Amino acid sequence: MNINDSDPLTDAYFLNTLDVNHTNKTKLIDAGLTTLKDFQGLTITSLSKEAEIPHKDAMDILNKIREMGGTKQSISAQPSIILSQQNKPTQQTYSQPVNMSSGLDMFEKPTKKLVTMCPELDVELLNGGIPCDSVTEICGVPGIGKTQLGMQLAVNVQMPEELGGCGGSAIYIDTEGSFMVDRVYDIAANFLHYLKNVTNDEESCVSNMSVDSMLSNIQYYRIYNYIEQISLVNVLLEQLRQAPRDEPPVKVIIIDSITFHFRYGFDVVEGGMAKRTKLLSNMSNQLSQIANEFQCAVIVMNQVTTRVENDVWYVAPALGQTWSHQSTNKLYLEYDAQRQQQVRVTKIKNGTTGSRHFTIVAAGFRGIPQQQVEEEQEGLEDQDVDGIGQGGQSVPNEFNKRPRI
Amino acid sequence: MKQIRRVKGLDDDIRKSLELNGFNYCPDVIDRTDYQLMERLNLNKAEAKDLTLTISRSIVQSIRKMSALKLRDNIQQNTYTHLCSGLPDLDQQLRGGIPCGTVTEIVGPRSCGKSTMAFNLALRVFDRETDSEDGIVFIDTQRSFDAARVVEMSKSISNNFTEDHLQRISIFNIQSVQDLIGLLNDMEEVIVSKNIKLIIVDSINALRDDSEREDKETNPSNNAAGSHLLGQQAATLKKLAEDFSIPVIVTNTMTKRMDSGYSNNKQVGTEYQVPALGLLWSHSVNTRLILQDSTFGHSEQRKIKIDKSPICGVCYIPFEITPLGLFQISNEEMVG
Repeated sequence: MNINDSDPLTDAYFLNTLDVNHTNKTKLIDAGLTTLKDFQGLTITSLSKEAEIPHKDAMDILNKIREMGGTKQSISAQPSIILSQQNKPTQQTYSQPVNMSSGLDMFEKPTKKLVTMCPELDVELLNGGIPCDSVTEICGVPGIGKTQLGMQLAVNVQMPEELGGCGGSAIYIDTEGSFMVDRVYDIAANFLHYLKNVTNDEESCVSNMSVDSMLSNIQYYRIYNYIEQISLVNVLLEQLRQAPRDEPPVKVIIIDSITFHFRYGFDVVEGGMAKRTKLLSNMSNQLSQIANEFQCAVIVMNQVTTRVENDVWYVAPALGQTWSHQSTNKLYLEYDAQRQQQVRVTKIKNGTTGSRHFTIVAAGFRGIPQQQVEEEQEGLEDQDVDGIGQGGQSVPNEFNKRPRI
Repeated sequence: MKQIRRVKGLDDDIRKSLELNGFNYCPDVIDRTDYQLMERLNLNKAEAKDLTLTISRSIVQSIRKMSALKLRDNIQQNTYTHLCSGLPDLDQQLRGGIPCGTVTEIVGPRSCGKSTMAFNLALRVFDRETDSEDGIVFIDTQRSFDAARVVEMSKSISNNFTEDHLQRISIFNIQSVQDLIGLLNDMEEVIVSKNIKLIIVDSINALRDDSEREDKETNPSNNAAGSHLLGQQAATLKKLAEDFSIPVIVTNTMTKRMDSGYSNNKQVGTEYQVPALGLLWSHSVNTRLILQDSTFGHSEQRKIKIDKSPICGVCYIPFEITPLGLFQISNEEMVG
């Protein structure tokens, strides 16, 4: 009974202190499990095998041992019980505690959604917007509007929570040098104007927002090579954990593009492509960890490349097969048969796949209602498709009727 | 790249071990996964993770970062943000002209005015309202630089064009992609010493690939040999443009592509014109201007199409080529 007397590990009366029924106690003794030391390192399955007792009983016994230990000595929360303090952490014991949540938790705590300003896309396909808990990949041919959408999202994320937005700030990681701050200024000004129109209330949460405050909530990083890109992703988690509480939380991280620096310098060295795959999947793991831990949307832009298969030439997302499985959601920006820009949702968590039309106007990334697309396509038959002045302004759009700021 | 011995906060034992194992630069660590580091340096996982994180922190310190607001302030303080092209509508659409700090591509079929436009832009550098002795780098791959034409065109600009101006155009003749990358890497001194305000590469697609790769000989249709170079070339050009905040202009030709299968915008079996060098290069430029020839009735009409730009949508600007250079024609004139 007296654990304090001798070394608790080899105390011969240990079993007596355990609240175990008689049958099981006999079985434990038969298996030679009498002292605390004997139980060291045992898991539920191995104990049940050695003592020939059911899993349930084995779990109860191990829990009881842990509880007992908890009162006498500190026990770490490792999956395999460590009964002694002298145990030095070895390679095997180094693992991070895993967060567990039930399906109910997930149901009761819906993820925030980041609107794209294309209502058809947000409402009909994305179930509210881009999910703020996972990695979303946006692919597209050169010049279609990937960067435009990225800049729009960096602004949209700042929509106040009172209006159903994320009320957060953005991190914009620019690898290509295409981030145009003047353009972001326009997009932000138009978005603010839109918010003020929606609320119509001087006292509302929008009144203390300004274009300058919106710009200051976008943190911009310029990356010149893949080493910098990997390093930044490596420290991002740590940085976000240390972020000051009084600032708006980061709710979107945009990498525009993830591809550029990974498309040169790898295919010349031996084993380069394998290295690239490893580095990319490592980066993608970290990104989804960030998305999950901070409930923020991670947007990665991807370029396209040409593939030839059986003499058929087609356009496919760059970076290869392994990468294509990494992201949770996938949007593909492309031109349809009528040269209209459309966004095709090919993979989406909690949403529907399909495609909707969009356009880039002076105010930013905007959707075109389906009805209007059909009307326009009828009209196009007698028009020159490559007509002059096909710039953003000429496309009739509900957002476009508002005066530009 | 940063040397490991300059990284602060590393354990002495690990520092020694890195040195012994030939890890001299930060990328040597970042390039490897945690497991590779554990194996090479005989570390446990926590130590390997710590090492990667410490090196990463050190690299991230030197990354350019700021809020968009600060970025805007910085840009507004800069007096040279755009190079005026002399075509009012183009300048208006691009918010002032060819943007500094980025790579702009001028694409078009043969003799559509690409070189003329390049000369035109070069002359605009001298037309700026500054007294400084600005210079231009013209990287010539096809011997297309025509001094007589430049002198002729110089009548269109307001400043008095002299021999001194011509002297300030530095011309480099090169033939291969390797030459270009080598040249660009050594360009810093030229840019600083000669106060270079514009870099032109005319034309980028005429460059030969000098690399001797086996698969290139066995499989001549394999263009993978060129692809990494294109990416590197693009990254080098962009870095130069951004570091010195100057515009970089490259010209490129169109090529025919026979589409034999599925593509997102064309039907099967159609032949159409695309910029040469492929999609990878297409992604790499920030702004693309396409010079188009098209016939309207009897008269030929030339147009500049802004095909890709982070600042404006697709639009068309009609222009004409005269002995004095490239000029915009108003839309009314064109209709008439």
